[in-house]
Amino acid sequence: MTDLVIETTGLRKEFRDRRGRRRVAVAGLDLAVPSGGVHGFLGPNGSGKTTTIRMLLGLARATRGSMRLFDTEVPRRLPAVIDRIGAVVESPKFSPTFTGRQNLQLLARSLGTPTSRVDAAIETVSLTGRDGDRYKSYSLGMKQRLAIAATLLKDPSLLILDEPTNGLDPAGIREIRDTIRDLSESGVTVLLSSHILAEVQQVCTSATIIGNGRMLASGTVEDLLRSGASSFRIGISDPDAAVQVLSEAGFTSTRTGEAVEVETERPGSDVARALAARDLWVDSLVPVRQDLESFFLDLTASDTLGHAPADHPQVGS
Amino acid sequence: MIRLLGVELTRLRWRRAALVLLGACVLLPTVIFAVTAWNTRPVSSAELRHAQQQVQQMRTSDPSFAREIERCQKRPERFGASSPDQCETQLGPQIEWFVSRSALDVRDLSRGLGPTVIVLLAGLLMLVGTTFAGADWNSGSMSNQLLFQPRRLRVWTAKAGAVVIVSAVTSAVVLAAFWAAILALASSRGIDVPAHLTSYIRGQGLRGVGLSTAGALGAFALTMFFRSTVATLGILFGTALVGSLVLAALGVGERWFPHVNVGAWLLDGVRYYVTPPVSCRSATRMTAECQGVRWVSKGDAAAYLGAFLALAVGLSTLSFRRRDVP
Repeated sequence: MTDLVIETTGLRKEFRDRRGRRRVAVAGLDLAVPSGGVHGFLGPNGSGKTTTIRMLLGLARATRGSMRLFDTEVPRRLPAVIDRIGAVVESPKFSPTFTGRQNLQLLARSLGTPTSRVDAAIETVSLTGRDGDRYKSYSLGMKQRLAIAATLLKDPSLLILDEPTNGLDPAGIREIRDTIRDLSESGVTVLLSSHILAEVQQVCTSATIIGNGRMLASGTVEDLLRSGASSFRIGISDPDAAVQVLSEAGFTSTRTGEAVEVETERPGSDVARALAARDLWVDSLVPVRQDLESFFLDLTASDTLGHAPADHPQVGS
Repeated sequence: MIRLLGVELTRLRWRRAALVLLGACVLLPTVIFAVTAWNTRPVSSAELRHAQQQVQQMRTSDPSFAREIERCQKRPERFGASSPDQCETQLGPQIEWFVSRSALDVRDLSRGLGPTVIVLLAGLLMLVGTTFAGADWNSGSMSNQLLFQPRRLRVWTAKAGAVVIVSAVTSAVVLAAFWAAILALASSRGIDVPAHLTSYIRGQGLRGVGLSTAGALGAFALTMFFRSTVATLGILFGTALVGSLVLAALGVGERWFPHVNVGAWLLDGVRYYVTPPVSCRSATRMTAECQGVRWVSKGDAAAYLGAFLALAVGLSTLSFRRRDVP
């Protein structure tokens, strides 16, 4: 277990709303993030991602449960490991009337980090030339880059990024994605919280999906995709008859244009055999690879409807 | 801790609102001094000549003055004069009518203008404490700071330390300069200031530094508690403007009015008045109790104001340590 950089057990967060009613933001979350690579932390809005991150970083108190960062109990011993953690929680938050450089200088001085590190961080995120401007004059992309520069002041082993591409244009998203990749390649473990699934699929090696404050699935991205329902697209001369035959054979299928979509865990040969037995011959049978987005939507939809995510148990570790 | 304190002092130095307020801390007493010096300047020979001319003109242009003086000189006792010589000064137009200007009175200043300057300074430094803390909450940068230093009590203490140092130094320098200027002015005008008065002024100045610093710390603590500049300013202005009225309406005695205690602290104790008890109606001897006079000492005031400060600091640190930071 020592190769886990983040580990939570039974993590729970309750708060009272304005009417005094108890709300559960995180409901017994068990999260395990291995060392190295980029770990996606996925969930719909309000699923408890940011609350979990804020609890890990000592900004919010957990109602119950335990948390460990680098095998150190937090928040009790957070000061011992905080220098190894860089984080951007929700939107970047700096003093608007200070320049970008002044904001970084104050943070660097609070760490006892030399000023040369500020220069290096500014250069890494390509803010050189604009570092003397007031933070409030920055575009959203520049603000995000400044926030990442702030995390680099620490030379972190773990980087926690909460929706880092929110509000960015495509070029900005690409820049952030490249930065994440570069950092990961340099040995930094990245926890990337996002709901932009295509982005997560591109950069993440592993992921955890949560919904309503509970873990729905966790594992490598490959394993998660494999565990999802697979489907086949069949080209056949009589699609209506094929749907009828497949239904009788226990398959779930729908006609889509001149083709038939079959959702099944069974191999494609079983589908072809069932049709051939009734004298229906398949022209083509193409496996449709599920992407993270459809897997996620599938998973979170069943969770929203109150179904237990039994089809998608924890995958790997 | 020293490093964090340095960071917070730099942060305070970089805040424009704080710099403007600190500038006002220097400017307002300077203006007050300049106005005092001007209003108490000695009468110049040109002003005196001009006044004499006006007196002369009034006497000649209005014959009723001459008639009155004549009547007075015949029967001075009827006009309240002890001798006929006094009639002209008693009834005629006087030079003071045209150049009436009070001289610099250092004792008077120590009871009136001195405390006013201190209260102004305290108000401005309270705003410094409030805006300094409020800016971190308004911008949300507090959470970012805690990602670099998660020991919340240390963060609170470093920020409070910066407010205390800046307030204490500013109020000490400004009050020392203000009184040094007043004493130098008095000396240049040949006004003697007795040693006991200088000692009183020194004591008041020190208490003023204490009040300003404690005020700034209290305002900072309240802002850290409410997490909003507006809420703190509302509470502070509300207390200053209607606090005593509300307490009076609730039947609370003057002893517990904020302004009475601030006055007692700065003026080395103040009197206040209460309705004498019913038993006094039949009393034969008028005791202090029956006169309705009470006394709040500076010690009483210190306990009263200190209790509020301790409450604000206690609530603020407790809440900052325990509550979630947005």
